[in-house]
Amino acid sequence: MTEGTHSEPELRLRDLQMCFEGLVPAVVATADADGQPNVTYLSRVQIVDEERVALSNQFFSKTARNIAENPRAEVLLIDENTYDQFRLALRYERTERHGRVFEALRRDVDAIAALEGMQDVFKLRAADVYRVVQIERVLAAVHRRGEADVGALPEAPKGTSGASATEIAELSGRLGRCGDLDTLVSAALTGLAEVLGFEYSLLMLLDEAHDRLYTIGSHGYAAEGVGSEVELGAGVVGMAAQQCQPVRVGRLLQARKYSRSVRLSFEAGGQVAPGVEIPTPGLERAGSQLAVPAMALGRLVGVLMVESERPAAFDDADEAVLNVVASMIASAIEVDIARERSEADDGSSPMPSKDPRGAAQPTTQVRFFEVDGSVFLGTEYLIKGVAGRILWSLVNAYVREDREEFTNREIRLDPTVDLPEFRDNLESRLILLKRRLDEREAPIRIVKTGRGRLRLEVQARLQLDVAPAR
Amino acid sequence: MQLRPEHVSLLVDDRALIVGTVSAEGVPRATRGWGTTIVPGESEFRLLLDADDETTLENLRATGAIAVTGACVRTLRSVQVKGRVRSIETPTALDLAMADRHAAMMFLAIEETDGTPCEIGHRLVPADFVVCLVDAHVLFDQTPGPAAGAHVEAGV
Repeated sequence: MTEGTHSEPELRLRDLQMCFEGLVPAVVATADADGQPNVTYLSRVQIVDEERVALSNQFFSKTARNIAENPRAEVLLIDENTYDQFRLALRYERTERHGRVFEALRRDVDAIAALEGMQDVFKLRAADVYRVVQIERVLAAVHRRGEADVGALPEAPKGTSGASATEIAELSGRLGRCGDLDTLVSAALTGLAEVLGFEYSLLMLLDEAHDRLYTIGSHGYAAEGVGSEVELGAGVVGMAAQQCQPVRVGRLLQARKYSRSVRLSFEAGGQVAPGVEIPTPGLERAGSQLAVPAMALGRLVGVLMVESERPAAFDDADEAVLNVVASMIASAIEVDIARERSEADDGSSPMPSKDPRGAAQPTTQVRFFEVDGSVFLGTEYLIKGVAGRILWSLVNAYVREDREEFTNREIRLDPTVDLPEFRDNLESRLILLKRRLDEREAPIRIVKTGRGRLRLEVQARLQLDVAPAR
Repeated sequence: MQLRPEHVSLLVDDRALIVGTVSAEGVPRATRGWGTTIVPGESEFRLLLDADDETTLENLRATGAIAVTGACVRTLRSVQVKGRVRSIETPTALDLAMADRHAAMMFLAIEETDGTPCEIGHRLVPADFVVCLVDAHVLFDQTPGPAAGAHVEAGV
């Protein structure tokens, strides 16, 4: 034992839990057969069991080559709450490329890769498992100097909700009382804040092609961001959707920094194209994100994401609570879709408009781009894709047929909308469109007039233009 | 080898320093460095270590082999110098002033990028230092990514 260190036979890996959260990168030293040392930072260290840890191996690094020659290693860890340091003397045992340990490390690495769109190139290759020979606590220098401690230590991170069964029941009750999907989305996101304490949340739904997610509602942000999209696999949300598993990043600032650094290295090697930014809706300086898949009947419906400016803001209990809430939302959406499709249209023809179209109203240009279904009001982008084609169909009927009342059934049968024959998302697309029009304070609004019915309310003269294809 | 200015910049000022040594029996040791004085174009530099870390100092006396990785806290760009320690000395007043400056700058950079208060970081600063004279032999890019571990051409 050396001065400044304190050997504690009773120290166990589980006592060092806060060293493995990833705030302060661990350091690993190895040596080759010729006695040349190597020292580097580690992206992830994880407890395997009472006597073992696993180190992530993404690049078949010098560390891995040294271990093949000399199985001894030493890892320096920092408890991110107290900044106490610990030394772990290690001996290499085995490398795993599948199984529980590998999968747990892979999820962490995948989440880091997804932050900068590197999920295709930055992957965990192996989990190297080591037996822990000795654990030493390195006394903080302030204790060795016998001085009073400097600065107040930060509080140990705590989860956000700490939800009780009563609170979950309260939210469940709120959702159960919602009569339609629009109300349900608002109630769910508001309830997450009011009942469970998740101040910033985002609900994204899977699109018809199953390759993107679109925002249908959010809570806590300056802009609701309705209609923003992410690809499957991109960012924390896209990764949760692709893997149908919760993704939690507790140290987002550090993870982004590491991910950006790795991305620059891949760009320099020409393995990824520069300039691709993955837009992640949400807080500018988020410290933590937790995304959980919303699934019903074994099928992915969307992703519920919460975030916080606080690092390590979410724990296992939060993840469990979010899973329950996401399942409730997904089930409600599935029920709504099934009900909406099964209820027969009463067959009555929508009535033509009786209100004279105000000749004195200002004119709004509605521009439609066939190539991607995007719609602009004047020069401002509004929406694209299925929702854009629905709006274009509605305003055409409004202008050319003098109609304001519509049914879901006729929209579904309109070939220009291009909905998939099986399992369309018409109702959620209509809600997305309604919310987007409300958010933009557009002179065109959608008002639900009954189940499967809507009215287009227009406060302008519409000039329709189809933009030429490029 | 002579250290180029662009590599020196990753080993001085607010750069985080980690150090690897090895015993005569081949047992590796990880510790932290607490500042360097490097003149670009020269091969020898001064490195401050914890005077209480006897295992590290024993390793250096036994084998002299050392690896020093310097990383920019803000970007994680990193280089690793490998070489030999020629001597271990008592630090001068200038060395101690440099250690103070290094810790202040590094923990400020960490606070600005990661949010960890400087005061907490200062808990790590050793009570006493020694200074090692390191002769740099070889340099590696240690920036996280596929090029990590690549040999960097020596010379000015």
